[in-house]
Amino acid sequence: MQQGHKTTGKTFAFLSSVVILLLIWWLVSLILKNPAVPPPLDALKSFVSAIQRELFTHLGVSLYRVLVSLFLATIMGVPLGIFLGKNPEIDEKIAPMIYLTYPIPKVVFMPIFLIVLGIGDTSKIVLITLITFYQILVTTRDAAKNLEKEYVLSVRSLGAGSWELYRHVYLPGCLPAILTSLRLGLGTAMAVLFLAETYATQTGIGFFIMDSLSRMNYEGMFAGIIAMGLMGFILYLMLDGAEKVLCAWKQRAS
Amino acid sequence: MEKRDILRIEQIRKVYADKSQINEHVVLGDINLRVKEKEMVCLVGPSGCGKTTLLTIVAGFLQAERGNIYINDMPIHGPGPDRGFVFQGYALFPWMTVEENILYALKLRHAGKEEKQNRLAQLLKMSHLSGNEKKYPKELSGGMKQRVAVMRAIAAAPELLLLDEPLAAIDFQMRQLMQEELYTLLMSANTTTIMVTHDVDEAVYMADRVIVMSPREGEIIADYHLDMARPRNRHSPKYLHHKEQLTLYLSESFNIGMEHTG
Repeated sequence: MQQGHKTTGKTFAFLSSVVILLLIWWLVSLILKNPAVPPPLDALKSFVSAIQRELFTHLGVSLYRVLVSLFLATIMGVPLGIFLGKNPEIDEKIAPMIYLTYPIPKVVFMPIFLIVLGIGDTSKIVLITLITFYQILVTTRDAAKNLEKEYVLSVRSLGAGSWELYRHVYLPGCLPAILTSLRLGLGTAMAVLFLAETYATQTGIGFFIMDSLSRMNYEGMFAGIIAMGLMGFILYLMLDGAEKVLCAWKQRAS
Repeated sequence: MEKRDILRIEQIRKVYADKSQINEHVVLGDINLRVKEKEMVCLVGPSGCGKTTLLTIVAGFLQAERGNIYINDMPIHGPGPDRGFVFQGYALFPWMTVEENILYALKLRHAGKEEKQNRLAQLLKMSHLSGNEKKYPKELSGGMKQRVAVMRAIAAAPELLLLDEPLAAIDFQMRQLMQEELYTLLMSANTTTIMVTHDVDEAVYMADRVIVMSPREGEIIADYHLDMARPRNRHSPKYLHHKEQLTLYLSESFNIGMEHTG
C-alpha cells in the first residue's frame, strides 16, 4: 500500500514536471515570437515527421558514437582506476600526470584528432572516450582508495586471492561511484558529441542541427534538438535502471 | 590426555617507528604464548598495550619484525581461512546478502551447492538468523550484524577464531545482553577463540583464560586461568573474586604504563 502511494506520487511529480516545462517553453516561444523558438506542438510535429526520414539515421550514428565511447572509457577507466586505488605506491607515481592533464579541456585536441585520425567516426569516438575516461578513472580510483580496508582484510582472511579481491570487493564497492561518474560522463559525452559533429562531418544529430540552421529550417533544427535531448534522457534512464539492478543493496531502506 | 596446541606464538617482536624513523616504539618486545584446542582466551590490558597488534599479527594482517606464529605447527604466511577474524565494526560486505556473507569462504573453496545449503541452515539456526538470509547488512540490527560476522568467520570451520573488541561499540545497557548472546554463540561454535577486550567483566564472563598485557613492550604480566562452571553467575563469590584479582592485575599493568611512558 505504502509502496503504491510512493510510486503514484513519483509518477505524478514526473508528469507535472513535464507539463510545467512544456508550459515554460510555450511561454518563451510566445514572448520571443521568433521562428528559432517554435512552440512545443509545432516542434514536436516536425520531430515526428523528421524522425521518419533522415533524422533517424543521424540519431543512430550519434547513439553509436556515444555508446562506443562510453563503453571504451568504462572498460579502460574502471580497471585502471581500481588498480591505482588499490596500489597507492603506483598511484603516487601516476597521480601527477593525471593531475597535470586533468584540467586541460581535452576538447581542444579535436583539430589534432581530425588531422591524425581523419574525419570519420574514429576521431569523434577517441575524443569522447578520452574525456569521459578521465572522469571515470579519477572517480573510480578515489572510490577504490577510500574503500574500507577491513573489507579487503576480511576477504583475504576468508581465503580470497587477487582476482576475488577485485571481483568481489573492489568492483562492487566502487560500483555506485562508477555509475555516478558514468552519469556525469554521459552529460559531458553528449556535449562533446555535439561539438564534434558540427565539424567536417555529414552525419550525426550535431550535423543535422547545424545543417538545418544553415538552411534556416528552424523546425528541423528543433527536431534535432529534441532528438538529442531524448537520446540523453533515455541513456540516463538506462543508467538509472542499471543502478537499481546492480546496486540493489544500496536502495533498500534500513 | 593433554590437549594439543592450536596456536603457538614464539618470540614475537613488533616495533612502530614514527615518521622521522628516529624514534622507535616497541609495541611487542618478546611475546610467547600457546593456546590449546577449544580454549577461549581473552587478551586484556590498557590501550596501547599491543593486544590488538598481537591479534592482527596472528591474523596475518600485520608482519612482525621477529618471531613466528604457528597454527597446528605450521608457520603462517599472511592471512588465511584457517583463522577467522571478526572486526569491531564487523566489516560485513554491504553488497552481499546475509547468506552470501556467511557462505563467502565456502564459495571461495568452490564448495558444492548441497554443502553450502547444509552449512547455511546449520549456521542460521545456531545464530537465530533464519528468515533473514536474503536481507542486506544495512537492514539488520547491530546484534544481528555481529552474529552474521561471527557466522561468516566460522563458516569454513577455521582452527582459530579471532575477535577484536567485538562489543566495544555497544552501549552499556545492551552490553551484558550482547555478551550473553555472543557467549552462547561462541559456545555452540565450539572453536578455539582469542578475543581482545578492555572490559574485565567481559573477560571473566567469557574466558577460560585471561592474558593481561602491559604497555611496557606488551609484556604478559598475568596468565590467569578461570576454572568456573558455565554459564557463569555474575554475582557468585567466585566470579567476584576472579574479577577483583584481574582488576588488580590490570591496575598493575596500568601503573607499568604510567612509569613506562612517564
